[in-house]
Amino acid sequence: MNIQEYIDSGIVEAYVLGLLTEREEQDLCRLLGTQPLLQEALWSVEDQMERLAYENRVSPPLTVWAEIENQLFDAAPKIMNTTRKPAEDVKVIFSDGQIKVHRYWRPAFIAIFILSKIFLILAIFYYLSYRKNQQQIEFLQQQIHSMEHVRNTQ
Amino acid sequence: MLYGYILKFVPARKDAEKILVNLFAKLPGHMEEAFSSPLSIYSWLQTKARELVLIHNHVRHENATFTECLALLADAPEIIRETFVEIYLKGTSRKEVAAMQQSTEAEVAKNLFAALSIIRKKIS
Repeated sequence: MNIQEYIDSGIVEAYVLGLLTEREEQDLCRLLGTQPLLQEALWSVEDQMERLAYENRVSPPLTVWAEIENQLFDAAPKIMNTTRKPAEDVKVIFSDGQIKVHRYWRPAFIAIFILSKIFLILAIFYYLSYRKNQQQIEFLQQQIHSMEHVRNTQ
Repeated sequence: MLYGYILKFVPARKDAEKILVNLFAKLPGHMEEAFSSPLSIYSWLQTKARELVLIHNHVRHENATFTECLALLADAPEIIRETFVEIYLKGTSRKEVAAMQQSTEAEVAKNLFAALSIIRKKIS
């Protein structure tokens, strides 16, 4: 078989567009493994088709992506073979610039926030106590010095 | 890109959106097929989008209006144009087209590949 004639026949384009019969598809897939020229032709056709599609691209409305997300994440637990309960799955969904995380993260974030505030207050309290103690020590030292000075003069 | 491709077949935006959602909703069940195919993910998705479009158009008794593709075949013989329209845009089988044109399936395949070859030369 002349591979160039095979490529020029338009069979690669038909394959990319899903227009081949099952048998033609099997023959082409078999040849793809042995004919680098055919593989190159396939990549070239795909590249042209993608370029054409990109030039004629139309952005779907944002509601479509939201709908796709809903459908995908609704379907995911049914497909995944997992022993974990769906409620335990940590979902991270990116949509419209917002990040949605699992509901258990909410009390965790609140607890972390409250603990951070408690530690901050304790740190300030201990710092002020330390400053006060330092001042008392300095005051007492001054008193001792003055008492020693009085004793020496007597 | 896929939305734009679907709109070539289904001009009604709401219908095109439904097809796009349906395509991605069915994706998790076809992951293995997609990754084992020698086609790129985009090309594979495009073939699946066309399948859904043809089902939609068949149910609604609507015909695709892929004017860009038809414009590329403007100079081609009528039989080649007709074969392309019937198979690619309407989803008619080669057997049905052969019966319609009173020819053989091999002749229909030859005309289809000739149409695709013309399109390839025009876009490259």
